[in-house]
Order: sequence, then structure tokens, then C-alpha cells
Amino acid sequence: VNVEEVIAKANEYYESNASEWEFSQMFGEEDDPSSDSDTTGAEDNWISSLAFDSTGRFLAVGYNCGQVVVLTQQEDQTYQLYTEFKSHDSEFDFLTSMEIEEKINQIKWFPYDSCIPALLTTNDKTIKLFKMLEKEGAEGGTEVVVKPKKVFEGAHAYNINSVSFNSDGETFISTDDLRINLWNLDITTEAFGIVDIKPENMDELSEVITSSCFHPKSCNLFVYSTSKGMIRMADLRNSALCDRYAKEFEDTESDIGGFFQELVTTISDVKFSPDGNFIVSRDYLTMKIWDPRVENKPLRVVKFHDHLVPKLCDLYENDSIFDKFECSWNGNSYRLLTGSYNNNFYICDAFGSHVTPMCAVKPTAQKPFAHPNQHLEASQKVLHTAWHPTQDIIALGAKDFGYLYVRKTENDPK
Amino acid sequence: MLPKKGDSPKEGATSEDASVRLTFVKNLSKTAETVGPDRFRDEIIPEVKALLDDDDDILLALADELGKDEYETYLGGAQHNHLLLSILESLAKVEETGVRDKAVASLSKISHRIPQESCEQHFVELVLRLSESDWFSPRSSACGLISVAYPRASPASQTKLLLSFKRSCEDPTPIVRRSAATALKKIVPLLDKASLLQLVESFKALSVDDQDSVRLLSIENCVAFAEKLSEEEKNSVVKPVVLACGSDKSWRVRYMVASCFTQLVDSLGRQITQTDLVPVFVKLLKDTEAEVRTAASSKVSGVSKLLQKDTVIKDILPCARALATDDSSAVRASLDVMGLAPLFGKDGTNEHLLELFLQLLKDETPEVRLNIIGKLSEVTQVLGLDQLSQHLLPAIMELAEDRQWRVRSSILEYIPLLADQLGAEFFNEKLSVLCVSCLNDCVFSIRESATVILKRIAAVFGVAWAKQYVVPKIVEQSKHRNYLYRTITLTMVSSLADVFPSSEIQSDLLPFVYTLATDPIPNIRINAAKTLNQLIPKLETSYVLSDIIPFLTDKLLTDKDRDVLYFANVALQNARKKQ
Repeated sequence: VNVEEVIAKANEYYESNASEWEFSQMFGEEDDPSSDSDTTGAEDNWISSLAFDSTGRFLAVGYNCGQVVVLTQQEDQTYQLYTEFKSHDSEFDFLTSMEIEEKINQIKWFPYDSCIPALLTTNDKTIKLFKMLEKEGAEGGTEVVVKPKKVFEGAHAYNINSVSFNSDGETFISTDDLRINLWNLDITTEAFGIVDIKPENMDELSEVITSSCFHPKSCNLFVYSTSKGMIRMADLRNSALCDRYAKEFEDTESDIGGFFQELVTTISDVKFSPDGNFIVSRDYLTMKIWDPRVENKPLRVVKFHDHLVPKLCDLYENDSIFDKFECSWNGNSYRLLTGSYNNNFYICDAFGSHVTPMCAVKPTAQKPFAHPNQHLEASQKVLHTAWHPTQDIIALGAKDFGYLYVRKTENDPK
Repeated sequence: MLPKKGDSPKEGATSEDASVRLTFVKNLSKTAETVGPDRFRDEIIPEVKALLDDDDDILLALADELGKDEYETYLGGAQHNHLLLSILESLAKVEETGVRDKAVASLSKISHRIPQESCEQHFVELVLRLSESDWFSPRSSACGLISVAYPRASPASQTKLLLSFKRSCEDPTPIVRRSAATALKKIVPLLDKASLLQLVESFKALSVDDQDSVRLLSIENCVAFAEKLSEEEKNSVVKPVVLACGSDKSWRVRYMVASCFTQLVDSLGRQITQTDLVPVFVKLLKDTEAEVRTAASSKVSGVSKLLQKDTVIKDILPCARALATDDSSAVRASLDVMGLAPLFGKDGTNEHLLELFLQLLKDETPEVRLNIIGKLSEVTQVLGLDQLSQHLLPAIMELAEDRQWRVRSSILEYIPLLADQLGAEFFNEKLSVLCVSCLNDCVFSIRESATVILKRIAAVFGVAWAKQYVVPKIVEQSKHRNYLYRTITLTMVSSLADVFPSSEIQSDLLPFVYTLATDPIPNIRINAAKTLNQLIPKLETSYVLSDIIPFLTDKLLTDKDRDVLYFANVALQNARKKQ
């Protein structure tokens, strides 16, 4: 891959495809203006995960309450309800006397188009495989039935943060704070532990795994990110155990220094680009794009959170500094999307310098969000994002509301 | 849930309750027998079709059921077999791999019963339809059916089948390519030379596929191809693939080469093996990945048997010696060098192998030592007892005293084997003490195993031997202070009774049972009653009448414990049946 060529082509793309976006849809139940959205139980309806399937036909939305809603694309490009189901229930772990939340941490769709779409959902401890079947309903129309086909449980002592399908269509990995397991989709009784960073002495624990992702095409490569800002790439071909990573990416230059340095370098999301040539990592203040051949510095650093640097103290006080923001690539691997506070989100040119700041808000909303420079509304955050695999349609999750935005094109009737 | 009189047999199929529907499927054969062929075809088959979008376990049961031979009769003859085909075709399209695989298996079974005239239309067309589907699941199932359809297809259809198979080898989804790679080895034996050569390109393409899971299936295809090609073609077509896989970047592919190595050697022949395969094997024995070394080391004997002795000494043995000190205990435990002994003969074994065996016999990991002991027979045949026994015994004794009870259990398993080879005298001297001490092991499982082992040895050495050596031990044991160890005596008695004639049972074994039947501990009395019950079928009727029944009646009247009474009663009833 010739990086210069990629940058050149990307910039050509940016020239002819302006990054202008407009509101398309909002879903979620409108708040009663008089009710306080911080009442107990109200957080149940907060979105916790978003994922488009490989064709873009479906958008899955996972919630804190364990519910998953699947929307399907209509002819006019909007999304309507297709089906919904309860994915996980909360459980009580008797051994640790703790409740296992039903919150859906991540949803991933089976990578190959199938007449019966399948998706993996996971909470802190259990991963489930669901399949959606269209059946003839009672009145002759079609109804959608969602069936849990497999339950992968009992393999994680720590909380699961991600799942990722392998391009072989046969296996997937599940990742918790300290370990990564490799599963076969047909076998729920066994998993292989391929990465284990648990220290012999837990007192020495200083680093946890925060996210992981398989390469979209190579069945042997995957990356995982850590709380120390490291990204490690492992090769399944080399050996049965991947503790000895093949590559380690670390940005040693970007330092704001000071007390908060460590807290802001933790990586909240790491993803391969859809073409498999680059990796993006989202830390608290930036997104970094990595060329897999260069381990000691990122190819580009995309900044959009500089306005937060003077406010880090406040953000630490209200725990917002620990927020985990997701990021998403667009289908041609040229643009990136990530969320922020004040319901803001940013669409960034990965190989250019342009950043489009947007605010997720219904156009007719009475109460718009303040500009972050005026007043930082840390409770209004867009943590979850997803980008349609082939079209410029993006999905954002902000508390209990989901937003869909589309890119304005010249063909726009407006 | 059999259909009750008056019930319509098809009600089960439409029930809301999934378990009722499942029962309907499992009872399909009974339903068929009840209603007869005509009604089965007209009424029941449509109901079955309605189940086709049901839950996976129902579909799985259906796929399994319909493959059974009886359905031909239920349908009213071979001419109706095709009715099942459309149902199974739908099942072969299903997402769930388990259901699809079962459907493919059932389709294969049925295909043999379809009359030749209709085979083309019903079966071959079905396979072609599946292979042209838009979705990957049916395309994947089609691959598994091509080897079944091909022999019965017309020449024109055969061409089409091969063409669709070649397309599957290049399918965009890895799932289909994997099915194709798996199916290839079944298709190869069916083809004539010309068609075979057509598939060579596909074979090569699959062996360099991006996906590891596809490439690793190439090895078995190498074997299949090699069996049908000429020497020159093996060299030009198969050998390069084997060599490439042997140094593949993915350890899983190299693992496959190691585990299929003996088959590769067999199919490729001596010439290629000597010149090209030996270096590959040596490399695998030294592979960086322990899993690969484990697979290769388990094949050392198997492969060496097919090589010239000089090659083994020069190339293989040094590797074997290195493997005996490998870091990974799994590698050391799978090292199979015992089978080399016959190859080397007595002197050769002494010179080259004995040291290796002894080293492994002293390994710190029990599994390694167990592995050696388990494969001793080949060595003892060559070397004879004396040499071995002096080394073997300490190793056996140590394993028998290992802290982990599973290790002790494993060594016990080998004792009959050793007894057989080493002979009664040796056993009496050295091993009998061991066996008897296992009767006193703190773990019940071991005590129980010991009784079985002693029985097996008694079967080998004979009743006289048992009377002389085992029975006295039982006497001692039955007087043990701890009731748990007294109980095992009764298990020993039952066990030995299997190999003792009834007269000997009466004279030598029953006395213990009588004694223990009056033991102060109720548990023992219960077991005594149970033992008597087990012995009754083996005793002569006259004895049962004259001695057993009175004894039991005696106990019945006198025992205070309810459970003892119960079991004594059971034995009594059994005894009375003999009258």
C-alpha cells in the first residue's frame, strides 16, 4: 500500500464529496419535558451499542436494559422498525455476589450476507448468537422471529468489552479486561484463550485491554488496545498463543503532560479500516490513524477535543474523563466519525485536515445544546456511532435517542 | 406420546408446543405404520412440509428421521422416494450447520435407493439447484452432495456438476470454499484421468487460499490426488503443495501436514519420500510451535517404519532425542519411539533406542512415563524381559505411588498388559504387592479399579493362581479395621466370581460373604446381601436351595436394619426363582 497514493486519492475524494451533513431521522421516545432524565430506571433506555450489518440493510441498536432493536432500510433510505427482542437478562453471580448487568456492550453482525441474518450480542459475561427469520404471519403478512441460536458463556472472569467476527465466517473473538478468547460459532462448550495479560501477582496490575477487532479480510490478524494507549497486533498463524504480539503501536510524542496524561491516553476504541490497510484508535482527546508498517508513531493525529484540555479538571471531578467514545470509518476508508459532549459529533477527513463539527439534535427542537466553549454539557454525550458500509448514512447514540444523519449531495432536492 | 385411538396422527405437527412437534417427528415411523402408505403420502407428508421453518432441533430430528431406510416402505416403494427429496432439499438450505450436514447425509443415503431412471431428474437436478443458489448455505451443502450425485449422473450432467464444483472452489465466501475443500477428496476417487486433471487447478488454488481454514484442508486432498496420479504427476502436482504446506506461515496448516504424514508417505511413495518428504518431517519435528511438534512426534514410529533404517538413524533419531528433552511436556508425552524397536532389532534397539526409553521413563511428568509404559509391548517383544524389568519396575512403582490419583489409576490400567507379557512368576514377585496395595488406596476409584484389574489377571493366570495368591489377600482385607476397606472385599468377590467356576465360588469365596453378612456395620451387611444376589446366577441350584436360601431367611428374620432386609429380600426372591 502506497501511503502517498492513498492520501492523494483521499484528497481527491474530499474535493468532490463535501462533508456536509443533515439530519435524517431520530428514534427513541421523546422525553416528557417536565421529567428529569436522570431518574432511576430512565437509564434503562439509553443506547449502549450501534451496528450496521455488512449490507447496510439493517441497523441494530442495543440498550442498557438488554433490549435490541433492529431497524431496516426502506426505499427512501430511512430506517423503520424491523423487529426487536430482549437479548440479555440481568443475572446474579452467586460467587462474587454481584449483579451481572443486562446492558448490551457490543453488537456485531455476521460478515457475510445470508438469507437469515445473524448477529452476536454481548453483555459483561455472556455472548449470544441470534438469527432473524421471516415467517408467514398469522394474517398472511410476514413476521420476523428472532431466535437465540447459541449462547457462549462461562469463559470470562472479567467484563467483556468487545466481540469481533473473523473473516473466515467460522470463528470470533471475545475480549474482556485481561483476556481474549477465540470461539468457533458452532461450539459453545469450548473456547481457546489466545491472549492473557493477567499478571501473576494481581497487585502488579497496571494495564487492561479496552477493545479488540479482527482484520476485515485477513483471517489471522487482529488488534487490541489497552488502557496505556498501546495497540498490539497479533498474528494467529505464528503460534497457538498470541501473548507474544507481532507488533506494538505506541505514540510516544503526543503528550499533554501533567496529572491527566495517563487518563487521556487510554484507548476507548480501535478499528481496522474497511479496506484493511489502516487502523484507527480513539483516545480521549484525539483519533489516531496508524499505518500497520510503522509502529512508533501514528500516520496522522486528528484533533477535535482541544477545547477540553483546559477543562480536564472538571471532567475528572465528574468522572467524564473516563467516558469511552466509539469511532467509525466510512465505507471507502477515507472518513472517520466520532462523538463528543453537548451532543456533538465530528466527521473528520482521515487523510485531510477538515473536521466537520455537528450537533445531534432534532431540527425542530426547542432547546438546542449550548456550544461547548460556552458551557460544557458533559452529561449529553454521543458515545456510540456507526457508519453505513456503502452509503454516507451515520447513526449516533446519545442517551436514549438515536440519530441518523446523511451527507448532503449535489443531487439533494433541497 | 403415541397417537391415541381417535387422535388424528397429524395433530402433533400443528401443536403450539415445540416438544409435541418434536415428538411428532420422532414418532413419524410409528405414524407411518399406523396410517399406511397412501395416507402417509397424502396426509402426513404435507404436515411434515409445514414444519420446515420450525426450530433447529425439530429440523435436525426431521433430517435424521427421513434418512432412515424404512421410509421407502412407508412411502409405498422406491418410486416415491423423491417425495422426501424436496423436504431434505429445503433442510439442506438451512442456516444451521448441524441441520444442513444431517440433511446432506440423509440425502446421500436416499440417493442410493432412487431408481436410475428418475435419479437424473430428481437427485442430480436437486444438487445443481442447490449449487446455483444466491445464498451460501445451499451452495455449501451442494459441495457435500456432488460426490454422491456424480456416479449416477449422465455424462452431460457430470460435466455440469464438475463445473459447479469448480465454481464453489472459487466462491466469494470462505464457508463454501471450505465445504469444497472438504468435499474434494471424496470426488477425486470417482473421476477418470481427464476429469481429474480438470480439478488440479482448483486443488492448487485452494492450497494457496487466503484463509487458513481453507488451506489446511489441502493436505487430505494431497493424499487423495496422489493415490490416483502417476509418479511424474505426483512430483509436479502434489509434491509442491505438500512442500508449501510444510512451511506454511500458519501453524495450523503445518500441524495438518504433521498429523497426516504417514498417509502422505504412503500415497506419495518411497522415492518422493526419501528425497523430499524426510526433510519436511525433520523440520516439523523441530517446529517453533509446540502443537506442531506434538503432532509430528506422535508419528515418529509410524513414519520411520516406511523409511530406510539408515535414514532413520541419521535424520530422525537425533530429532527424537531432542524431543525427549523438549520444553513442552505435551510434546514429550506424545513422542512415540517405542514402535522403532522392531525396526532396529535387538542389537539396534540396545544401541540406539534403549537410552531414549530409559530417559523418558524417568521424566518428571507422569504422562510421559505413562506413555512409555503403555507402548511397551513392541519393545518387550524385541528386547525380552530381563533388561527391561530392572528399569521398568522402579518406574512402575513410582507411578503407582504418585500423588495424583489419576496417574495411579492409569498405571493400574496397564498392569494386566504387563502381567500378560511378563508372566506369572514375575508378576507374583513384583507386581502382586502393588495390586493388593491398591485395594487399600485412599481413593475409591482406585480400589474399584484394583478389583477389576485383579479379575483380569486372574483370567489370564487361571483360577489356581488366583486361589493361591489373591484369595489369601482377601482374607486379610476382610479383617481390616476400617469398614471402607472391608467393603472392597465384597466387590473383589463379585469380580472374581466372573472367572471362577461355581464350585470354587462356593468353596473359596462364599465364606467371606457369610462372615461379612454378620458384620457390625450395616453398610457391609447391605453389600453382602447385594453380593449374594449377584452370585446367585453363578451358583448351582442345589447349593442355592440348600445353603443360600436358609442363610438369607435367617438374616431376614434377624436383621434390624431396613435396607439390609430389603436387599436380603431381593436376593431371596432371586434365589427362589431358581427353583
